[in-house]
Amino acid sequence: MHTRRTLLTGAMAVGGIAALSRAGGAQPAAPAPAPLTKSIPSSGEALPVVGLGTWITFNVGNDAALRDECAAVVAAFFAAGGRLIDSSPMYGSSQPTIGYALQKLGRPEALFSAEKVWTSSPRNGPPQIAQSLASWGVPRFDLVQVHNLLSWEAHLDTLLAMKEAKQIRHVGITTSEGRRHRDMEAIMASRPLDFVQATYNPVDRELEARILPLARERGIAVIVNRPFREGELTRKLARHPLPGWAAEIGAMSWAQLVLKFIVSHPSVTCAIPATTRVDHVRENLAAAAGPLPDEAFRRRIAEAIGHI
Amino acid sequence: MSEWWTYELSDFLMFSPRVYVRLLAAYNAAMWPAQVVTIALGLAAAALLLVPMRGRERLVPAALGVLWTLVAWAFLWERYATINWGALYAAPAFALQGVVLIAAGLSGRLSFPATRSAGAIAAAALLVAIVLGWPLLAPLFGRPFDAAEVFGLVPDPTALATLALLAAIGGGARIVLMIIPALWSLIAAATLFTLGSSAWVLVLAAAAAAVALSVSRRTPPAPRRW
Repeated sequence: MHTRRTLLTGAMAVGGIAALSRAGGAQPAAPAPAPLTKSIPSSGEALPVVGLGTWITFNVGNDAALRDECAAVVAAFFAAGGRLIDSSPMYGSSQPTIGYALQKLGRPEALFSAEKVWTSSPRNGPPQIAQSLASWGVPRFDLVQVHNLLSWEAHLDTLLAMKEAKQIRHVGITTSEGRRHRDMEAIMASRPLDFVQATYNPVDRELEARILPLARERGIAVIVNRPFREGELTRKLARHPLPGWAAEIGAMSWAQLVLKFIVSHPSVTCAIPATTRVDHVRENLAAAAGPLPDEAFRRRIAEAIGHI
Repeated sequence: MSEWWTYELSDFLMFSPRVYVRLLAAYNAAMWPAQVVTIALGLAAAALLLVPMRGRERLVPAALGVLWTLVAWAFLWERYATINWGALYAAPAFALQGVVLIAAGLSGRLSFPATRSAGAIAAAALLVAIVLGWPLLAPLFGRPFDAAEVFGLVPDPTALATLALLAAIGGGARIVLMIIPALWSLIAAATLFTLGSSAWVLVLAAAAAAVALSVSRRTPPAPRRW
């Protein structure tokens, strides 16, 4: 059975065999090219355009073997040049799993920690963030976002005050699955945000109408969640052969083609696919290393995937 | 202002089937051989629905209540809550159900069928089917047998077996005692549906059969108290 990753074009499959030969032969494997980066408009800090999401994939409870699997994913993520890891108090045991992985890896300096506050009680925001810090084992977060705009007014006040006090570095808000875009737009227009996070991929393109142009206009970085619709999109695409023209931008799989479409939008800063597999995280980062599609090519991708 | 309406059922399914199966397998290994004991208790409860024995009205609900508190602590609070924070809310409800079952049993507020009526036989048969059949669903639905869900140790078969038992017994308290098991059956069916498992149909069918038995039979009078 084909997986989302195995449907390669003929030319790319030959290239894959060559890569395997290098890995197993006498010649040392060439280091993977570094992923492309984009700057956070408000701070100028460069971020690789592919990060790591942790929804479902890192919620493994106290299962020691699965925690080690996640740690291996994080290790491969940093080895491939990744930086931004995103989580939330809503994600079960994902936070302590990240903390376990970071401790095991000796707390990589490259980490850009993106967390969320998710409680309907404004009073519970600060203690929840403190608990999240303890779970990650980091002194402060690089970014804290109001998760799904839950009680956003009060939490945003808290986060902006924390940023002012240098307790966090960036402030953001999130939605997912197309929820509450009008509210997000209103907040983007009226509050000093560093980041927004929302769902965007070749079949969920509502952001293109207003959110993405507004982000560019207001200098707000954009994190894209659910790039593969939690795997639903890539599972569907895997039933079809990858178009030969995908090789023109170095996409060796549907997943890479989708990621290249997303991060090539001028307003998008970073996409955060989640995975439990080392080979997938490497492939995701590799999508950020090669050429990206121009506007005409992006339309071609959207049309091809939209017709499937 | 709360925005809970913007969430869908799938938003709360925060773990993968693989993680849940491994959690069940680890739990079963840690609890072994309690599975033998709880299944025997379930079968004994079914038998006592049909075989009059002095004290069964007190003994069976109290033993069932102990199993509910065991599920609340050992499974929901200690294990399931590590991958589903919703279990932190379910655990107190299960503990409450256990305490109320123990209290209802020990206070003699429940009455068992005096005769082997068709309703009592059907309820006992349903109880046996749940106790013996639920562990077999694991291999039937592609899970390893060591990840079987066993009555008295995990919520779904415990709630369904409780509904089946309550369908046969009398006393005003039984309606109150059916609330939490019925609600859990709905939650279980919704969770299985969201996980993509067709076992949700069996959960709803078993719960519906128990409720139908409960409302269709003639309720024996509650024991007189002086």
